[in-house]
Amino acid sequence: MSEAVKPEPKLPPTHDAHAKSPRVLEENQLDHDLLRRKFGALVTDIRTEYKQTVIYTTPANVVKALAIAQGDPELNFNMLTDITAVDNMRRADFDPEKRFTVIHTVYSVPNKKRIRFETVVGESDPRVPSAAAVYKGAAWVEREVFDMFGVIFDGHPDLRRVLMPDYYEHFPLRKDYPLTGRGERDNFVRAEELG
Amino acid sequence: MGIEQMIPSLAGEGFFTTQINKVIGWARKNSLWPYPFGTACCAIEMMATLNSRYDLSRFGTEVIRFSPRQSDLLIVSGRVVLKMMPVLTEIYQQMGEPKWVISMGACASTGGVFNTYPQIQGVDQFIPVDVYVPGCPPRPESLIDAVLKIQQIIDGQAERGEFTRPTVEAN
Repeated sequence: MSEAVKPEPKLPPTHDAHAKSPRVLEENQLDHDLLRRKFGALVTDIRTEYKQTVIYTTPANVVKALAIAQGDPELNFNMLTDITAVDNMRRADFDPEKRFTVIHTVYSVPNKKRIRFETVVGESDPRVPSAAAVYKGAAWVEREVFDMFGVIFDGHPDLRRVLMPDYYEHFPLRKDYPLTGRGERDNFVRAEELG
Repeated sequence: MGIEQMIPSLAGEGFFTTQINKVIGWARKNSLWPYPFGTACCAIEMMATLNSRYDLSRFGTEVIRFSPRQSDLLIVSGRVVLKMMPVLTEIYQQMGEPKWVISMGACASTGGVFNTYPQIQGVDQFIPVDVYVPGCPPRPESLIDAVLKIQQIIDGQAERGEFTRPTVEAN
């Protein structure tokens, strides 16, 4: 029996081309030694995941690390892209002490570099110091994270809800909150009954 | 004009008789002043309906008023969420009688695809609706049809609630 010669499968070129793209390399690869030298003991781990530089830090140190990232002339991360959070509740290895991951994404416009800071906070007391003193724009996005996840930002100038109404009692993007809500959307009075 | 009644003995005498509510209804239905409660993409279709191509002013409905106190037709076009519902109720209450309401599009009528925590699943739960316009978003022709149905309600050709009554018996 002679084995039929199988044609070699032709893979789409996208993935390889993406890896070799000079733009991706330039934008995302940061020298880990440089970052370790700059941040020192403030960070717990520095990794490159999916070609993105991720810095793991703690609630006590995250704002200090952000201040270094912004103030250091070599790093020069002068723009706060976003602050958001992830609810880890549905993960297989869920630990209530690691309920939320607060993510600060900063970008350096002159250097074209990006860093993601990840901070893990517990379920019982989800507190992170506010970055509003370092990046002024942080105040708005921290209100959003507070509104959706209930993470409290210590030292925030005005921590109120921003998307949901002030009377709202829940944090809708937490995984234990149902998608269709708990009846708030049906709880209004008809116009005729208001008189 | 469609409001006159001819009495045979008065034919050719140079005048006609009618009823006062018919005259008032005739005036009202041809000068509806809509309040555009546009919150989403349906509002874009509503603007297209008002523009010269579809020209809602052919039916006397071109005077868009941004004050509820000056308008008599509320066009709810788009999603209404938790924070917006008290605003919509207040706008409805501020409109002077008589007033009519069009619920335009799937989101305003039923919540549409947004079966989520802030989305009101149909504004008819909280304000009375006279005509629903199906579509996502409805074509301008559908909105024109809804305005014509409001005109039918105003001049008495149709009862109030005639267009919102279920046409199929629920099992």
